[in-house]
Amino acid sequence: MERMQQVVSRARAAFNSGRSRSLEFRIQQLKALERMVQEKEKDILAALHADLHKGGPNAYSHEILGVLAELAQTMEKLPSWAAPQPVKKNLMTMRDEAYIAYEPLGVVLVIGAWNYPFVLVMQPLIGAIAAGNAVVVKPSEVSENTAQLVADLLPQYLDRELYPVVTGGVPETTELLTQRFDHILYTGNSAVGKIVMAAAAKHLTPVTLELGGKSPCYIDKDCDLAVACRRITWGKYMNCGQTCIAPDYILCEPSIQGKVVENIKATLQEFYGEDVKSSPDYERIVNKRHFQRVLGLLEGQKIAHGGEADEASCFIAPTILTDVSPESKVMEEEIFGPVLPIVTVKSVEEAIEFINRREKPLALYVFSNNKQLIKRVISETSSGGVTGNDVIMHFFLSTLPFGGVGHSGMGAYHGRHSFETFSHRRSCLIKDLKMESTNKIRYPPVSQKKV
Amino acid sequence: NPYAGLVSHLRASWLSRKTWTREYRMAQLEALGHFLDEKKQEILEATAADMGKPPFEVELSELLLCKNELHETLNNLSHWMRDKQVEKPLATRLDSAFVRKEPYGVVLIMAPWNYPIYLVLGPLIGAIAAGNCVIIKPSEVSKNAEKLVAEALPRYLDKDCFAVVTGGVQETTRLLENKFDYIFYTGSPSVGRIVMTAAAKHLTPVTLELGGKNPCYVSDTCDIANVARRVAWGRFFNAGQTCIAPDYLLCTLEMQEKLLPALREAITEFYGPNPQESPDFGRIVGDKQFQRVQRLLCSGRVAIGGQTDEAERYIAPTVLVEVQPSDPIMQEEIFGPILPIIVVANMDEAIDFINSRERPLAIYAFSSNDKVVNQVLERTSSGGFCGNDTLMHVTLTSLPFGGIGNSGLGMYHGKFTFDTFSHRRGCLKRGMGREALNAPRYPPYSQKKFGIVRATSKVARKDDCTLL
Repeated sequence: MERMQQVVSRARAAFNSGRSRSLEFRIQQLKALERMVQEKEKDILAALHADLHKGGPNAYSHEILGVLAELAQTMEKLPSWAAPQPVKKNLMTMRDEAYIAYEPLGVVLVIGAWNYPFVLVMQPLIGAIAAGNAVVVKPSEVSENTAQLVADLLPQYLDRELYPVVTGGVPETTELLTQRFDHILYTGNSAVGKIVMAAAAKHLTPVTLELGGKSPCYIDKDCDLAVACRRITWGKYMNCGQTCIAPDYILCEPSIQGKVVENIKATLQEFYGEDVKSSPDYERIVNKRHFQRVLGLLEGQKIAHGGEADEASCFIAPTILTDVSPESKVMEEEIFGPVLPIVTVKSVEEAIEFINRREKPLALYVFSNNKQLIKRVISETSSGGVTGNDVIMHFFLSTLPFGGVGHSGMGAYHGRHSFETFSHRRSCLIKDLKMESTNKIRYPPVSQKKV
Repeated sequence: NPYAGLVSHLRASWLSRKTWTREYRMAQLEALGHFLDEKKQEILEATAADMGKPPFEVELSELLLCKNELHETLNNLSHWMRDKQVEKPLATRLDSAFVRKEPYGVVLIMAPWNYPIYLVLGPLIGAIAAGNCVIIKPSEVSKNAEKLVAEALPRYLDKDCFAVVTGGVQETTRLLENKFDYIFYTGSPSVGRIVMTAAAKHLTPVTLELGGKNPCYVSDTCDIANVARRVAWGRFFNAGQTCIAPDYLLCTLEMQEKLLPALREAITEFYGPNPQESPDFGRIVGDKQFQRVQRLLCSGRVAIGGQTDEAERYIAPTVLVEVQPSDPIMQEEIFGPILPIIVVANMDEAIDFINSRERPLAIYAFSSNDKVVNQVLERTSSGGFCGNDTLMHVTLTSLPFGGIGNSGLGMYHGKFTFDTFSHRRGCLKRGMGREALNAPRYPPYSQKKFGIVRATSKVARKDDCTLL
């Protein structure tokens, strides 16, 4: 497919022209993006609704608000982020200039995901533009309305050669990955993550992989269950469970399992009313394939709540499973749906062991009034990120690096971390041609005295 | 899988969490210091046997640089290990937000032969400091150093957590089949690709310290004698076998004519009239490498040096002129004591020449005119840059050391090594109280709630987003 090669070559030629490098240009492009989000808000919300049945307020909070905040912060902080950083010198370099210069990498590729199709393309794009790169944007074809919208809108507001959008499915993405990029940021699943990294290896292209996994949520006996369950319910069922950092499953002692179920049920009622299906605030599974997949996970399970489904609208009710066996299918893969298994454990030790026997997750959650216990769970486990006594929220703090570890990914972004991910930190030492006498000590011939 | 047992042994030690305490890490690091002190003589002998490395070069590049890294790390480890508090937007003032630095687990360090001690210990210091278990794979090309590292180093470190694996291509290939939690590789771009491809199978993050042809631009306005010394020193150190050595020179014909006698004089000053007799000049590491470098001598014309002695693997400090960009010596990283000069009309041509090639590990520019140095810096891209000298940027542990494009990905030295081998885990700890503050985020979403959320987001410019 020549088209891919042309698009990338054009972006590279545009980058080589040097126009994306000045701070003025970068801020101008970011301002244009900000205008785009503000002017086209209706269209963006409509696309999100068409793709995921996402209601306006929800879509606004999850996809637009964060983008506007990121844009504002980036435009404000860019001059300080991009400024050369002087470093500590030693005796020999005392009279020299030594600093780290932040430079663009070149042409970067951003591959988005379908579950938050707007923000997962926009947030990396913001960082990549801020760092002075050309950016090829590949939104997920699964969220086709948002993909089309991004393809239509970006060229209307941004430099067309520097920031092209490429649409298409697996064949197009595969072709795109044969091209040479200077960084690839991919959001999606681990299986495709391996493919992306292998393709990147051919060109020695650095990658940031934002993948997934099963994010555990441990609920201690000693905690305000009503509050904990409300927060967990919010994070689990938002976007119909299709969130990479959703609490995937719950670990708790058998004695509180019943109360946990009761509290979640009550919260669900509060959030979505008697008839969830008719709530404008409850989303749908993105397509039939995922619908079948998630429904399949319910087989053989004890359904404490929910379980209703309607294929025509890809509706699956908020569901809770109890006494789930660790070996069952629902505990093997990332659920990415509104199904919440509860696995009982006898103690926090057992919970920690359980978590550590599995692949490192993207997020880890622990609820407890006992600060020591929270500290212990965090320090004895590993995960991309953590929120204690809540879920999801570490994602919204742009001063925290957002990324995975092990199977859940590599690298991080958000805020300044995006800027650094998409920049090359070039060491610079500028000496004087004079002062040769200080150099003489390092030149041969070497006497014992020099040593 | 011949290494499965070793890797799982280290993984079991890893799971025991004994590498996590600061005391443990400091003890292992102190032991590395003892290794450097007690095995100094063996290090001198091994590197001399492997590539005729002059004792002063060993002191400077293998011992001093390691010691600097070690001291920097020991002095700052507590500080580096500490959770880093981060700024929080208004709504989360009651919460605690910080970044934890956590070890990855069992990491692999693959070292090359040219600085066989420094390029093992440099990464190793950071990997240990960050709390990992480490498998070390020294290069089989520097046979004596490999033997020293394999036999002596483990005696200083905890055998449950640190191991040395020896062998060639076959053994390395088998080793790479295992899952590691980080791989740090120093070597060539072609093997770098193989390492990253193997890493991709396990989603293992990597740092690749590779190489390339480091250009050295000399402008018409400069102190010729000083330039000649600094360039000669950087080029001929370790008989040219340095990843950041100035690989080739770019200058005008006029400057070339002035530089040649200055280079001749510098070489004589450093190594005497017959460098083969100087104790301060090294040798090529092996027969294969010797033959490869010797073949490059046929490019252009020999202006200085050119003598070789196969028995000693000696290649004289050499300068070539009348070199064309299409000549063999301009197709690969030289990694030998030969400096080709490519004539350009002016600085712009030099910059275009540099930019038409793969991005190198280092770029050097010499000029008494600051503007010229800055122009070269700003209009090119490379791992690192040094103005008016060669190699020296690597001696500052506060500067990150790494490549870009074909010359590598990732970086290290000083704190950057610790950071490279650490997972930065973003943590937010909230209180269970003040649940009312969370109300706007919960469904059902009325228009009123939407209004609040929207209104509070309008002050996003100065204060941060208040979704929280």
